[in-house]
Amino acid sequence: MNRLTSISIGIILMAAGCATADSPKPMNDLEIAHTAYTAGQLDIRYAHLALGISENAEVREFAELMVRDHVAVNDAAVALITKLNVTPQDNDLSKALVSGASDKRGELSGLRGKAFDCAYAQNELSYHQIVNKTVAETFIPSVTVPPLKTLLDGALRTFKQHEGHAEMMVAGLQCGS
Amino acid sequence: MLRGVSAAAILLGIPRQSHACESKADHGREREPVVHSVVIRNFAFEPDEIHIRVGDRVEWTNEDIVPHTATGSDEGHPWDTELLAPNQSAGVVFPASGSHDYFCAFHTNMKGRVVVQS
Repeated sequence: MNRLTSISIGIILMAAGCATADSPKPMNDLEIAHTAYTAGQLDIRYAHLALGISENAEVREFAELMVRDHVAVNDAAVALITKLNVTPQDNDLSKALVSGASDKRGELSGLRGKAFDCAYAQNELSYHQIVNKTVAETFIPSVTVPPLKTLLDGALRTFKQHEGHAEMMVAGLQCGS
Repeated sequence: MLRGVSAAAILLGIPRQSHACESKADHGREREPVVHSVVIRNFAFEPDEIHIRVGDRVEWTNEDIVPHTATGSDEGHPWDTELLAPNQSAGVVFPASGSHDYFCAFHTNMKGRVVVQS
Protein backbone atom coordinates (compact mmCIF):
# COMPACT_ATOMS: atom_id res chain seq x y z
CA MET A 1 0.00 0.00 0.00
CA ASN A 2 1.70 3.21 -1.05
CA ARG A 3 0.63 6.45 0.54
CA LEU A 4 -2.09 6.97 -2.04
CA THR A 5 -3.43 3.48 -1.48
CA SER A 6 -3.36 4.06 2.25
CA ILE A 7 -5.28 7.30 1.88
CA SER A 8 -7.77 5.65 -0.46
CA ILE A 9 -8.49 2.88 2.01
CA GLY A 10 -8.77 5.49 4.73
CA ILE A 11 -11.40 7.33 2.75
CA ILE A 12 -13.29 4.10 2.11
CA LEU A 13 -13.10 3.18 5.79
CA MET A 14 -14.33 6.61 6.85
CA ALA A 15 -17.25 6.34 4.46
CA ALA A 16 -18.14 2.84 5.62
CA GLY A 17 -21.03 3.78 7.82
CA CYS A 18 -22.16 7.02 6.24
CA ALA A 19 -25.07 6.49 3.92
CA THR A 20 -26.15 9.27 1.62
CA ALA A 21 -28.26 9.34 -1.49
CA ASP A 22 -25.10 8.87 -3.53
CA SER A 23 -23.22 6.38 -1.36
CA PRO A 24 -23.71 2.73 -0.40
CA LYS A 25 -25.92 1.82 2.53
CA PRO A 26 -24.26 1.52 5.97
CA MET A 27 -22.58 -1.76 6.76
CA ASN A 28 -24.56 -4.29 8.74
CA ASP A 29 -23.27 -6.27 11.72
CA LEU A 30 -22.12 -9.21 9.62
CA GLU A 31 -20.21 -6.96 7.23
CA ILE A 32 -18.59 -5.13 10.13
CA ALA A 33 -17.59 -8.44 11.72
CA HIS A 34 -16.09 -9.63 8.45
CA THR A 35 -14.17 -6.40 7.94
CA ALA A 36 -12.78 -6.31 11.47
CA TYR A 37 -11.68 -9.93 11.19
CA THR A 38 -10.10 -9.26 7.79
CA ALA A 39 -8.19 -6.26 9.12
CA GLY A 40 -6.73 -8.46 11.86
CA GLN A 41 -5.78 -11.23 9.45
CA LEU A 42 -4.02 -8.75 7.18
CA ASP A 43 -1.97 -7.37 10.03
CA ILE A 44 -0.96 -10.92 10.96
CA ARG A 45 0.29 -11.39 7.39
CA TYR A 46 2.29 -8.17 7.61
CA ALA A 47 3.79 -9.47 10.84
CA HIS A 48 4.79 -12.79 9.33
CA LEU A 49 6.46 -10.90 6.51
CA ALA A 50 8.38 -8.83 9.06
CA LEU A 51 9.45 -11.94 10.94
CA GLY A 52 10.76 -13.37 7.67
CA ILE A 53 12.73 -10.30 6.66
CA SER A 54 13.62 -8.06 9.59
CA GLU A 55 16.66 -8.62 11.78
CA ASN A 56 15.82 -5.70 14.06
CA ALA A 57 14.94 -6.96 17.55
CA GLU A 58 12.40 -4.20 18.23
CA VAL A 59 10.64 -4.76 14.92
CA ARG A 60 10.56 -8.52 15.43
CA GLU A 61 9.18 -8.10 18.97
CA PHE A 62 6.42 -5.86 17.63
CA ALA A 63 5.62 -8.35 14.86
CA GLU A 64 5.39 -11.17 17.40
CA LEU A 65 3.01 -9.01 19.44
CA MET A 66 0.85 -8.41 16.38
CA VAL A 67 0.60 -12.14 15.70
CA ARG A 68 -0.18 -12.98 19.33
CA ASP A 69 -2.78 -10.24 19.88
CA HIS A 70 -4.55 -10.35 16.53
CA VAL A 71 -4.81 -14.13 16.65
CA ALA A 72 -6.37 -13.81 20.12
CA VAL A 73 -8.85 -11.15 19.01
CA ASN A 74 -9.82 -13.10 15.90
CA ASP A 75 -10.17 -16.29 17.93
CA ALA A 76 -12.62 -14.42 20.13
CA ALA A 77 -14.46 -13.25 17.00
CA VAL A 78 -14.71 -16.79 15.67
CA ALA A 79 -16.00 -18.00 19.04
CA LEU A 80 -18.66 -15.28 18.98
CA ILE A 81 -19.90 -15.93 15.45
CA THR A 82 -19.96 -19.65 16.20
CA LYS A 83 -22.03 -19.00 19.30
CA LEU A 84 -24.38 -16.69 17.41
CA ASN A 85 -24.53 -19.17 14.51
CA VAL A 86 -24.11 -16.47 11.87
CA THR A 87 -21.86 -16.05 8.84
CA PRO A 88 -19.88 -12.82 8.39
CA GLN A 89 -20.40 -11.19 5.00
CA ASP A 90 -17.68 -10.22 2.60
CA ASN A 91 -18.13 -6.68 1.34
CA ASP A 92 -16.52 -3.89 -0.66
CA LEU A 93 -14.53 -2.63 2.29
CA SER A 94 -13.12 -6.06 3.11
CA LYS A 95 -12.17 -6.47 -0.53
CA ALA A 96 -10.52 -3.05 -0.64
CA LEU A 97 -8.50 -3.90 2.47
CA VAL A 98 -7.34 -7.20 0.99
CA SER A 99 -6.38 -5.58 -2.30
CA GLY A 100 -4.53 -2.71 -0.64
CA ALA A 101 -2.66 -5.05 1.69
CA SER A 102 -1.60 -7.23 -1.22
CA ASP A 103 -0.07 -4.22 -2.92
CA LYS A 104 1.68 -3.19 0.27
CA ARG A 105 3.09 -6.67 0.90
CA GLY A 106 4.50 -6.63 -2.62
CA GLU A 107 6.17 -3.31 -1.91
CA LEU A 108 7.55 -4.45 1.46
CA SER A 109 8.83 -7.74 0.08
CA GLY A 110 11.34 -5.92 -2.09
CA LEU A 111 12.91 -4.06 0.81
CA ARG A 112 15.67 -5.12 3.19
CA GLY A 113 17.40 -3.79 6.28
CA LYS A 114 16.45 -0.39 7.64
CA ALA A 115 14.41 0.39 4.54
CA PHE A 116 12.14 -2.54 5.31
CA ASP A 117 12.00 -1.82 9.04
CA CYS A 118 11.00 1.79 8.49
CA ALA A 119 8.42 0.97 5.82
CA TYR A 120 6.89 -1.78 7.97
CA ALA A 121 6.83 0.39 11.09
CA GLN A 122 5.30 3.37 9.30
CA ASN A 123 2.69 1.15 7.69
CA GLU A 124 1.79 -0.37 11.06
CA LEU A 125 1.31 3.10 12.50
CA SER A 126 -0.85 4.40 9.66
CA TYR A 127 -2.78 1.12 9.41
CA HIS A 128 -3.68 1.15 13.10
CA GLN A 129 -4.55 4.84 13.01
CA ILE A 130 -7.00 4.29 10.17
CA VAL A 131 -8.47 1.07 11.55
CA ASN A 132 -8.85 2.52 15.05
CA LYS A 133 -10.63 5.61 13.79
CA THR A 134 -12.99 3.46 11.77
CA VAL A 135 -13.72 1.03 14.59
CA ALA A 136 -14.31 3.86 17.08
CA GLU A 137 -16.32 6.23 14.91
CA THR A 138 -18.13 3.92 12.53
CA PHE A 139 -18.18 0.28 13.55
CA ILE A 140 -18.93 0.54 17.27
CA PRO A 141 -21.70 3.15 16.88
CA SER A 142 -23.26 1.08 14.08
CA VAL A 143 -23.36 -2.45 15.49
CA THR A 144 -26.64 -3.65 16.95
CA VAL A 145 -25.66 -6.93 18.63
CA PRO A 146 -24.34 -6.23 22.16
CA PRO A 147 -21.75 -9.07 22.24
CA LEU A 148 -20.25 -7.79 18.98
CA LYS A 149 -20.06 -4.29 20.41
CA THR A 150 -18.31 -5.69 23.50
CA LEU A 151 -15.84 -7.54 21.30
CA LEU A 152 -15.14 -4.43 19.22
CA ASP A 153 -14.63 -2.40 22.40
CA GLY A 154 -11.99 -4.90 23.54
CA ALA A 155 -10.43 -5.01 20.11
CA LEU A 156 -10.23 -1.23 19.97
CA ARG A 157 -8.45 -1.10 23.35
CA THR A 158 -5.98 -3.64 21.99
CA PHE A 159 -5.43 -1.85 18.70
CA LYS A 160 -4.89 1.48 20.47
CA GLN A 161 -2.08 -0.18 22.42
CA HIS A 162 -0.64 -1.28 19.11
CA GLU A 163 -0.90 2.21 17.68
CA GLY A 164 1.02 3.63 20.63
CA HIS A 165 3.61 0.89 20.35
CA ALA A 166 3.97 1.49 16.60
CA GLU A 167 4.43 5.19 17.22
CA MET A 168 7.32 4.45 19.59
CA MET A 169 8.78 1.97 17.10
CA VAL A 170 8.76 4.55 14.31
CA ALA A 171 10.43 7.10 16.58
CA GLY A 172 12.99 4.57 17.81
CA LEU A 173 14.03 3.54 14.32
CA GLN A 174 14.92 7.17 13.46
CA CYS A 175 13.81 6.65 9.91
CA GLY A 176 14.12 10.30 9.01
CA SER A 177 17.83 10.44 9.81
CA MET B 1 11.32 -13.05 28.02
CA LEU B 2 9.54 -15.81 29.84
CA ARG B 3 12.15 -16.63 32.38
CA GLY B 4 12.19 -19.56 34.71
CA VAL B 5 10.94 -19.09 38.20
CA SER B 6 13.67 -18.80 40.80
CA ALA B 7 13.62 -19.81 44.41
CA ALA B 8 12.62 -16.24 45.25
CA ALA B 9 9.12 -16.77 43.96
CA ILE B 10 7.51 -20.10 43.34
CA LEU B 11 4.46 -20.95 41.30
CA LEU B 12 2.48 -23.19 43.59
CA GLY B 13 -1.04 -24.42 43.95
CA ILE B 14 -1.70 -23.29 47.48
CA PRO B 15 -5.39 -23.66 48.30
CA ARG B 16 -7.36 -20.50 47.72
CA GLN B 17 -8.38 -18.53 50.77
CA SER B 18 -9.93 -15.17 51.57
CA HIS B 19 -9.00 -12.35 49.18
CA ALA B 20 -10.21 -9.52 51.32
CA CYS B 21 -7.79 -9.48 54.19
CA GLU B 22 -5.23 -11.46 56.05
CA SER B 23 -6.13 -13.44 59.12
CA LYS B 24 -4.33 -12.35 62.22
CA ALA B 25 -1.67 -14.83 63.29
CA ASP B 26 -2.25 -16.48 66.59
CA HIS B 27 0.61 -16.46 69.06
CA GLY B 28 2.60 -19.64 68.79
CA ARG B 29 0.86 -20.73 65.62
CA GLU B 30 2.20 -20.41 62.13
CA ARG B 31 0.20 -18.00 60.00
CA GLU B 32 -1.67 -19.52 57.09
CA PRO B 33 -0.68 -18.07 53.70
CA VAL B 34 -3.29 -15.91 51.97
CA VAL B 35 -4.14 -15.70 48.29
CA HIS B 36 -4.45 -12.17 46.90
CA SER B 37 -6.11 -11.52 43.55
CA VAL B 38 -5.01 -9.11 40.84
CA VAL B 39 -7.21 -8.73 37.78
CA ILE B 40 -5.76 -7.83 34.42
CA ARG B 41 -8.38 -5.73 32.70
CA ASN B 42 -8.26 -3.08 29.97
CA PHE B 43 -4.47 -3.36 29.76
CA ALA B 44 -3.93 -2.61 33.43
CA PHE B 45 -3.27 -4.50 36.66
CA GLU B 46 -6.06 -3.95 39.22
CA PRO B 47 -4.90 -3.09 41.82
CA ASP B 48 -1.59 -1.93 40.42
CA GLU B 49 0.02 -2.16 43.88
CA ILE B 50 -0.70 -4.87 46.39
CA HIS B 51 0.66 -5.39 49.93
CA ILE B 52 1.07 -8.95 51.17
CA ARG B 53 2.86 -10.90 53.88
CA VAL B 54 5.81 -13.25 53.45
CA GLY B 55 4.62 -16.62 52.15
CA ASP B 56 1.42 -15.26 50.60
CA ARG B 57 0.46 -15.98 47.04
CA VAL B 58 -0.60 -13.44 44.42
CA GLU B 59 -2.87 -14.73 41.70
CA TRP B 60 -3.31 -12.86 38.43
CA THR B 61 -6.39 -13.43 36.27
CA ASN B 62 -6.47 -12.18 32.70
CA GLU B 63 -9.87 -10.72 31.80
CA ASP B 64 -8.67 -9.12 28.56
CA ILE B 65 -9.13 -10.72 25.16
CA VAL B 66 -5.38 -10.94 24.47
CA PRO B 67 -2.57 -12.71 26.37
CA HIS B 68 -0.61 -10.97 29.10
CA THR B 69 2.06 -11.83 31.66
CA ALA B 70 3.06 -10.62 35.11
CA THR B 71 6.85 -10.58 34.91
CA GLY B 72 9.16 -9.44 37.70
CA SER B 73 11.53 -6.58 36.89
CA ASP B 74 14.20 -7.56 39.42
CA GLU B 75 16.99 -9.28 37.52
CA GLY B 76 18.35 -10.79 40.72
CA HIS B 77 15.09 -12.49 41.64
CA PRO B 78 13.30 -13.41 38.42
CA TRP B 79 9.70 -14.51 38.58
CA ASP B 80 7.06 -14.82 35.91
CA THR B 81 3.52 -16.08 35.51
CA GLU B 82 4.43 -16.82 31.89
CA LEU B 83 1.72 -16.41 29.29
CA LEU B 84 -1.78 -15.89 30.65
CA ALA B 85 -4.35 -16.57 27.96
CA PRO B 86 -7.76 -14.84 28.21
CA ASN B 87 -9.60 -16.01 31.34
CA GLN B 88 -6.53 -17.88 32.58
CA SER B 89 -5.03 -17.46 36.06
CA ALA B 90 -1.60 -18.12 37.55
CA GLY B 91 -0.04 -17.39 40.89
CA VAL B 92 3.32 -16.66 42.44
CA VAL B 93 4.34 -17.21 46.07
CA PHE B 94 6.64 -14.60 47.59
CA PRO B 95 8.80 -16.20 50.31
CA ALA B 96 10.85 -13.12 51.28
CA SER B 97 10.12 -9.51 52.13
CA GLY B 98 10.78 -6.74 49.65
CA SER B 99 9.22 -4.61 46.94
CA HIS B 100 8.81 -6.26 43.56
CA ASP B 101 8.01 -4.21 40.47
CA TYR B 102 6.60 -6.11 37.56
CA PHE B 103 5.22 -5.56 34.07
CA CYS B 104 3.53 -7.34 31.19
CA ALA B 105 6.27 -8.75 28.97
CA PHE B 106 4.04 -8.26 25.91
CA HIS B 107 2.68 -4.80 26.67
CA THR B 108 5.51 -3.20 28.62
CA ASN B 109 3.60 -0.05 29.54
CA MET B 110 1.52 -2.21 31.91
CA LYS B 111 3.20 -2.03 35.31
CA GLY B 112 2.48 -3.15 38.86
CA ARG B 113 4.12 -3.72 42.25
CA VAL B 114 3.96 -6.37 44.96
CA VAL B 115 5.12 -5.18 48.38
CA VAL B 116 5.97 -8.11 50.66
CA GLN B 117 6.07 -7.41 54.37
CA SER B 118 7.47 -9.71 57.04
